Amino acid sequence: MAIVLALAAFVLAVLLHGLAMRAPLQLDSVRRFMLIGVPLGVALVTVALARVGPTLPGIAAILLYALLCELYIFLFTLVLSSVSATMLIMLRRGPVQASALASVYDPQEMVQLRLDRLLRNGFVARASGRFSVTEKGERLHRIFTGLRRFFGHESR
Amino acid sequence: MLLAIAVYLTAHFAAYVFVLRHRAELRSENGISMYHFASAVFAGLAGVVFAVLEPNRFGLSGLVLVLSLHGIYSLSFLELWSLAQGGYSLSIIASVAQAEASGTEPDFLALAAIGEAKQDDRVAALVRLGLVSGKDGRIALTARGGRIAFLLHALRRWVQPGEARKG
Repeated sequence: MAIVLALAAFVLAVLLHGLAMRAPLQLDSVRRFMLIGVPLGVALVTVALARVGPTLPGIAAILLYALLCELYIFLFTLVLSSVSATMLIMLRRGPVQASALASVYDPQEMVQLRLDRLLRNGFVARASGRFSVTEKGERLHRIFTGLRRFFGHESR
Repeated sequence: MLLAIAVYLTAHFAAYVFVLRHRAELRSENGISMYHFASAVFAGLAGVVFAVLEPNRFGLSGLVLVLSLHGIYSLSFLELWSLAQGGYSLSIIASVAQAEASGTEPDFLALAAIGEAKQDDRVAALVRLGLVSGKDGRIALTARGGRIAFLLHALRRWVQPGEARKG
């Protein structure tokens, strides 16, 4: 029962996210989902604990909801930003020359797109034509430099 | 039960931290994915056995709990691993930081060149996964690729309605 509740909460979150994506909000797709997914998650926890308490079914339902939400966020951010996903979608129209497929990806445009996003989200700043990394950007850089070292990506 | 799976996942993570992360096999995308996939299969099978043996105390809820907890752990781990490996935005921040430190301009052209070189790898990876096939310089979706592309397109239409008619 609690697991069915978790599945229903997730389906509702996805449906409401679809609606939120059509609403004129100044939020990115992930924040729009959080706006819906978090309150629904809190409601699920409350209902699950009230009905079955901190039992195996109750905890399983809460974890299932968390997993499905994480998976959904992963998938829709992949679909929105992955070049490979864009290539696959483009190929639905039919076979194309390898060179035409390459046109999906303009490397300079891609750098510009990411740079604009970093500027907009306050990770990089631009003053008098010069770029600089903000404190927020430095923090992120430090964290991922540590992670690169931890995962052994730097020594490859 | 929650304690048993928590101990198992901690041991899985500890084995990676203290022993396996230094091994070359686990520094590749395939290697690290297999490390998590094999563990998820093992945990899933153990969950099925427990669900059959203890239907009242463990049952379907226990199996869902095991798979969900492992799923959250593996998905979070692999996302971080992948982001740390080759995040484009992170490379841009690194490039800006480097330029700032040396008093020069960031070399965005070099980053674009790296991206260009990755393009061939992307097509090769799609071929390797059996999602596309190439013949006489033309690339086409395989049957499996068609199904995946359909799902990706449907999801994109759902979350990016403005782009609904593209693709």
